[in-house]
Amino acid sequence: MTVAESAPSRLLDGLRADGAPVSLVEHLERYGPLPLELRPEELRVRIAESGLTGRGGAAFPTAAKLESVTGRHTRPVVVANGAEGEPASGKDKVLLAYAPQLVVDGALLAARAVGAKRIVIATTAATHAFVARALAERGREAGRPAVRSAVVPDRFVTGEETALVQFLNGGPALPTFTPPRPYERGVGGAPTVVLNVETLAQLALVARFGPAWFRSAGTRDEPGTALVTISGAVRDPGVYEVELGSPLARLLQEAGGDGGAQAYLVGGFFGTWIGAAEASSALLSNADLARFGASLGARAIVALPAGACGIAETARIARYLAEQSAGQCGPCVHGLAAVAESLEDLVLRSRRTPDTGLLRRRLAQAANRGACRHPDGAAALVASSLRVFSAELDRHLHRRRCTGNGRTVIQLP
Amino acid sequence: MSSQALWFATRGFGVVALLLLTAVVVLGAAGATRWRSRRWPRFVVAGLHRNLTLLALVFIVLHVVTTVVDGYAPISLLNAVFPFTSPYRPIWLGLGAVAFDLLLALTATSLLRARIGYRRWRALHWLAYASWPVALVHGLGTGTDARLAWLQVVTLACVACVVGAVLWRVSGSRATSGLRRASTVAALAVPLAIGGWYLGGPARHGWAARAGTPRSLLVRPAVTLPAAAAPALPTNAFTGTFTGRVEESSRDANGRVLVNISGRTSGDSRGVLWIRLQGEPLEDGGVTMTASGASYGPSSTPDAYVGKIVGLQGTRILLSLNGSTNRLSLLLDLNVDSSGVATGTVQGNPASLG
Repeated sequence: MTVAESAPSRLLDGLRADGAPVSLVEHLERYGPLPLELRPEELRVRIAESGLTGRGGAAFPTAAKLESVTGRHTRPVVVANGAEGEPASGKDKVLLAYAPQLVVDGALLAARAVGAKRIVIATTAATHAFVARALAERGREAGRPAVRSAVVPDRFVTGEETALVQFLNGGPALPTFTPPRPYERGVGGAPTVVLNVETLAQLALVARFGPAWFRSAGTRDEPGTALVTISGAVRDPGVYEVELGSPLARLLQEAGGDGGAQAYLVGGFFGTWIGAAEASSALLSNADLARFGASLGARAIVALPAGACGIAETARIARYLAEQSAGQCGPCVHGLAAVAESLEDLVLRSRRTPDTGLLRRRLAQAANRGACRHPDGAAALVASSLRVFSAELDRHLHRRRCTGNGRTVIQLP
Repeated sequence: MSSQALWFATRGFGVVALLLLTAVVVLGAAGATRWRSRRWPRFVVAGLHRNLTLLALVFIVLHVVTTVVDGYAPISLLNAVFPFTSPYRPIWLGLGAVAFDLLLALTATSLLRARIGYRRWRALHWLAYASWPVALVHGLGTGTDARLAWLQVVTLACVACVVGAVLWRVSGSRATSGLRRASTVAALAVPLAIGGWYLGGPARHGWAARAGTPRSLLVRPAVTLPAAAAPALPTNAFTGTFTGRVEESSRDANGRVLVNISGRTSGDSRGVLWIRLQGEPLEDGGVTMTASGASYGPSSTPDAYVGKIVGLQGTRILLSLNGSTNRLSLLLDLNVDSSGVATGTVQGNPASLG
């Protein structure tokens, strides 16, 4: 995964040309020391005024999340979530590999804001070494919260908040759906706030430079910048920092153009397909993407080249998502497998009278019935493919040969 | 208005039309017997007979229009007028068209009675007694609600009214005793025959398929395809040989390949077989299957049977295929040489659709 620069660059600015992680010395030169003069409530006010939202996908207001664990009997725990189970996304890995100190800063400040004495930084095996090195550089300071790192399994559902907490407590990395929620009783039974690593990096900047500076980029409702992973048909795939609300077209241009892609998968493999014509006017904000029933989600965008078959690609993704099911809920286990099978039937022409009726019924039966949003996201993705690739779908419904000849171009793990 | 609403409207209009036509027949018979009472002088009976007929016509037209506008079944306006031309349940829909045509003829001749003369009009008007049972059979044969208990009661009541009216009409007739006896027998035998047919047909499970509903409608597809001609394949188990080619595509972005097995069968069943197998290649040259598709049929209709691989062990392939009227399972045992030429045996086993 490469890192590309784009204006305004906040998180990825000041990276070393040789691609090595920014050391603590360089980090302090660039950003200065932690603003430890701020009292916890002052920090919380700054974060609230900045309008910072979660960068993991749900875009939940960070201030509200911090508030939910503040003022409880037990001291809360801060978990930095770098699990990044979404295969189309590489932004968290890039951030942890290149600017781990910014994430550590954010975790320390979040802990200060809520009065936490314990921090867990959860990463996948790929980025764990960077975090471990960054923590070693910091050394031990008196009165500072205890920070430990943890390696989590590389799996789609691991990054889900309840799955992560259950794993850190020694259980399986699977979502739970019975209360207590993590903010009530999470890691070690303490109220736990789980924040995406990019959210924490943004929080570190908000604390230093203030809400007004943070809001100088982005839109009123969605301020700031965000890291976006772009892959697929673009010339220079990688992680880009974009201003929220900036045109998708500008990002594509920065990524070297896409040679006339036919559609974009926005929001990762949980996302929504948007046709090229619609995408030309799309802005990178949840408010604008809502026009297409899409959202930034995991902030991953995949450009589908012309000549590929969107239905075959979606069939492959649906099969992947079905395999990634945690296996806990029937609608997810059986529903997603059935959805994938319906799409494969279309692609390989194994039904005498192809139709989407059964597929649409299966989509309706899979969505909104699981413990987590996994089946819902998968169903929404498939539904969008039927909308965007209507011409290709029509070919399949008339049992004509698929444009991509059943071959896929989007790579999955 | 939703399609569902139109479908309900169609059914409702049909039932109302049956009630109105029953009343019309009873009033017609009453008129013919010159029946009257203080409250119902003869001009009232005649006027009511006439006006209810027109009202019934209005409901039948609504019944036809809502059926045509509702896109569910492929029925056109012409199918509603020209009997037995509908692709959807041709016979039972066709009887509706016959009844409609008869009623139009009866109405037209009644309006032109002064021009064509009383005797001719009267002779033609006997057709009304044919129109009613034909309409009834149409309703029982294709009516969505024909198996509902309350509608069965309504239908029985209608039949009782009409049979009673006809017997009354015959008893008061000045016709020859032979004609009267024949009419009486018909008035009793026709309803009994219809009742027997109903119990053996529409009242039993699976009538929709037997009535000639296109299969595409029974499974509710998004698109309607023209029905393929019945393939000339054996209806019994058969064995034969297969000769063809096996081609494997290069790996795609996810490391998967598409294997095409295409060729011909000879022996008891001559046909074209095409199997598509998608999967991940193994080191020993095999493929772990992720999805598949297959089609088989005579060379004129190679898609007569379509389905997928349900069993795979080495080069033994078990296919389950669906045809327009039955299922076919094919077991292939192949030898594939290094140049991709495949030869082997094929065993076919037709089975009826469950």
